[in-house]
Amino acid sequence: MKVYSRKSMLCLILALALLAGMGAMSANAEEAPGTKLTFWCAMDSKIANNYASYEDLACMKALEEILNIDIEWQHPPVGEEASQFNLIVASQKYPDMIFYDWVNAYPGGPEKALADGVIQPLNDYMEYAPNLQRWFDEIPELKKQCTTDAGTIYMFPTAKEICMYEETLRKNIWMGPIYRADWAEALGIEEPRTLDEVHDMLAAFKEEYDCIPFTSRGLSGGSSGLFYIASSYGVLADFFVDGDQINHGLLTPEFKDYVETMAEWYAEGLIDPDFMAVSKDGLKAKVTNGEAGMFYGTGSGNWQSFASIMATTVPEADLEIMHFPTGPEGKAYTAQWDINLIAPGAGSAISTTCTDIEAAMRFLDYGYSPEGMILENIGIEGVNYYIDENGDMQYTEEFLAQVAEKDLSTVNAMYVMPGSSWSTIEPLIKNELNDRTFPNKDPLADIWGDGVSAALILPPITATAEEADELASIMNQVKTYRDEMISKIIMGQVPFEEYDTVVEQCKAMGLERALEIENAAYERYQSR
Amino acid sequence: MKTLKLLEGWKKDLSKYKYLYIMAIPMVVYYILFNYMPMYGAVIAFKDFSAGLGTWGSRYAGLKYFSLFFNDVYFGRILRNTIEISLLDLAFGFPAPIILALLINEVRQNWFKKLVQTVSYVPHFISMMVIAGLIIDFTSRDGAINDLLALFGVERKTMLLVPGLFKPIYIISDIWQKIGWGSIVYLGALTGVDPELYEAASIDGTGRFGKIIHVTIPGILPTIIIMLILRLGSIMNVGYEKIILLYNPTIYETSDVISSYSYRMGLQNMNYSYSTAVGLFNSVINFLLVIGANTISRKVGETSLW
Repeated sequence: MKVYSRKSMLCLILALALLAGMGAMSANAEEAPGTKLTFWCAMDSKIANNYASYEDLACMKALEEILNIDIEWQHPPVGEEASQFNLIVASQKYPDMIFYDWVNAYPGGPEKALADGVIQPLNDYMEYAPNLQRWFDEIPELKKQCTTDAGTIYMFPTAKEICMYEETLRKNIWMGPIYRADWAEALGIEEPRTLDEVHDMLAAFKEEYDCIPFTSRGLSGGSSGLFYIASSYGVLADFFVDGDQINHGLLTPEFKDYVETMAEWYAEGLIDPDFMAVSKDGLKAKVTNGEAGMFYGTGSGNWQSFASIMATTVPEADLEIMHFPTGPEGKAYTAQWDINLIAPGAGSAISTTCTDIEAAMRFLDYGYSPEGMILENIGIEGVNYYIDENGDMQYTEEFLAQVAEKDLSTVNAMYVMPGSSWSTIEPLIKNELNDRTFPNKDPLADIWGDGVSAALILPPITATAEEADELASIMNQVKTYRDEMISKIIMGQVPFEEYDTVVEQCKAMGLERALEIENAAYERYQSR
Repeated sequence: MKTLKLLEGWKKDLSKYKYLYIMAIPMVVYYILFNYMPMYGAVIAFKDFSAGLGTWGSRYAGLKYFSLFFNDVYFGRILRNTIEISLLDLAFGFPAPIILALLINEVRQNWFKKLVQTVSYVPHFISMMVIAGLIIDFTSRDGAINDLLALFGVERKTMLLVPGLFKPIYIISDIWQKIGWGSIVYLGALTGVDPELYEAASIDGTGRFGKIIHVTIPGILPTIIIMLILRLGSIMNVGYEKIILLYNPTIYETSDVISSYSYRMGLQNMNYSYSTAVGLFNSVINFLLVIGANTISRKVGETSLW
């Protein structure tokens, strides 16, 4: 005992010193006097390439000066956002403001976050947010998407102005059909506009080339699933908006027609025989080797990047996007889940432990004022843009020189907040500015967005806490069964006559009850 | 009086082996901190877990999540697939490293022995993502296995789209992955077999094969039994990584297991309580299997874990 006492004392002292140090650190983090506020926010990866914190961004420096608020940013390490967020929630020591995807990433959604006592209802403080309030008054749909069924306003949303108006919605499109235009041209086929024309084109591809006419990543893989064709029939394979209520694809006759057509296509050899086993890389390989004739995908990830690879692998290829084919009804629909979501779910909320709610509200609200939207999305006058003699906004030459060297999104990340993940409204003038500066750079909107309807897409509705478990349990069974049986029917392993039994089985699993829950949630959403 | 004696004995023991005790401290702390402390979290299987309210603060939900799991239409199928894959793996995957170890032990050429060992260890160090990629490539329509079969006139097909082929693919690739690494423990046990026994067997006129049967195998039997008991403790754990990387809806009927199904369920609504309930159910079954196997082994032979 005597021999070790000195060493063990030393150990003890060191351990205590460490503990004391940790205690002091946490004590520091807690004090936030006056208008010094803490903000937890995952960093945009492009911005993280240049800066260690949002506080180094020119637009944030300007903002702190204008509002006289000092923001202390807390950024989780890249890739650990969700686990760091969970730690914050579990520790019950929240920063003053938190940016997160409350609808899709918080377990149980915003209602749960409010009930858990993590975030603050904002209704009583809306007087401090006149700009957001003005948007809410102007665009009721935006307010609905930032409010719970009970009417609680809970966040400053990440929103895009293009999604607010019917006529600009098409600019938000980022996925759709892609095909080998050079093959079609060689065969004297014009861009197909209906499903029948697509069929004839694929049949001609099969006849003429040693190829896979149509490939997909299973039924619902990424943006390349076979289910996307169902939208031509005016239905989706999941829940969708059918007139003034919600319906499920399996319960509609149109979906049955779709399955029958796909089974026929498969039997004719138009669909990749391995489509159920195609991975993300598998799709890339099939397309860039020049094997595939047509597929669905995203504009940047599947079309532009594949096309640039094919410039070397298959130089004669001309990969082009095509209009959404119209179905028997003669209408074209998109199945892109977020096409009409003004506020897809992410936003800044104020925590229940916020020390100065008024200052936090003022800080967040600035992003919704006309000058704030420009500052946070386009940049600073004289640095990023200037107003020309006609009163139009133009990028400065230094800015354009940088864009020529890199690309627009990379350069933007050096000046402004990430439009897709920051609580502000991306203004229409930014899209106009880009259109003016970079003409013909937006074929997605011009072709995919041309005449396509977003009518099928669900708004962000939420089931109640009691119903959520039931809904998840039913839909997990239904989806497992649907994917297994529909894929077998399409591949001819199960005869098409079995389709009605499949639907009956899904009903037995509770599909109609799930539809009831969804419709009730839709009604609550409508009356928000 | 008795306690005093015990305390005395304990003190004596402590001073005698103090260095060993000191060395054991980090491991004991590790197990308490990372394996025993988190066990209290299993309580959320009986609660409606909410991150904001914390593990203790969340409200009790009784057996709600267990009944959701047991009443699922697919409960029978995923349970059957889990146990089938596990038992097949036990039947074919468990003896494989033992056989490899015996074979390596018989090799007289040292360089060849080393080569075989090194080559067979390699798959252990490859990440599951890459392994799955290899398997998908090999079994695809234009993959190596189809190339080979095509020589014999077998029609080409993507094997991972045929329900009946999933389990063989899973088991065979599992053996390939684990055979080398698994043989290490048996090779270790083989060095412990008394060489005099081999000499005695030679004198008795036993051949090489006879020596394996009568000397080598009995020599490593205790190790085999211990490994078997431990293996039984993971019957219900068919890991979801490999399954999810390999399966697709067309072959759900043979490939969907408890872990992959509850992964899909959990992914949809981030239901921690549900996945904890499933995990707890698996652990209880595994625990019972280990206890059962250990009891039987203790009764029948002399080898047991405790």
